[in-house]
Amino acid sequence: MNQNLIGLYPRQYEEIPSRLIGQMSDDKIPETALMPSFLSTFGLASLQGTKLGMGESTTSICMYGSYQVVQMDLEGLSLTFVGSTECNTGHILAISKELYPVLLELRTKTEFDASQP
Amino acid sequence: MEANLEAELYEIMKTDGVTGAILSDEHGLCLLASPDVKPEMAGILSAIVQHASMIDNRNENPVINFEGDSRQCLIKKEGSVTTAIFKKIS
Repeated sequence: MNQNLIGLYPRQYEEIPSRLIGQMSDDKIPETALMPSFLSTFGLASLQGTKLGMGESTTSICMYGSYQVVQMDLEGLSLTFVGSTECNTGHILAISKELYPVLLELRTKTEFDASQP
Repeated sequence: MEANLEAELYEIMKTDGVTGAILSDEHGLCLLASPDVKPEMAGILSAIVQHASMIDNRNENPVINFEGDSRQCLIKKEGSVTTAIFKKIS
């Protein structure tokens, strides 16, 4: 696993408000990255991106001074990676494909739990 | 802008036995790939180089060779660009 990766958040963003279905992070994570408003921006940004006329975007990569944020849409499930700038972005994109079936299973499980009275 | 890079990749591809090549930047993002190589591999290949260079601190940019029965993959980082070349074993 990438040693500079400091957080990973799957989130159900088709629901309003979007529901965080899991998280994995260490102490180095900036507090703002855990705010619901921060994690919900991807849906909006992706929607705005469609105005560029190149179709809907599925992945956004944001580079900041000390951190990078990679957000992706996995069929209605928004997955957010927060890493340091040294973190290998290409590796994040590659491992997200491996995580995809696991996260879909997790989504199905949480949907089932949410539907229980 | 990427004409020089494309020319280099074309030169590599012309070499005898070479079946594919891929170039990635320092973030592991694909710069250029031959048609039969998946661009997603760029991240994995550059991560391999990052880990391999931790083995021996005196050798910053090692050449990594993965060899199978019929194919081999050579990976080398030079500056900020990581190059991987896939070859047939004759």
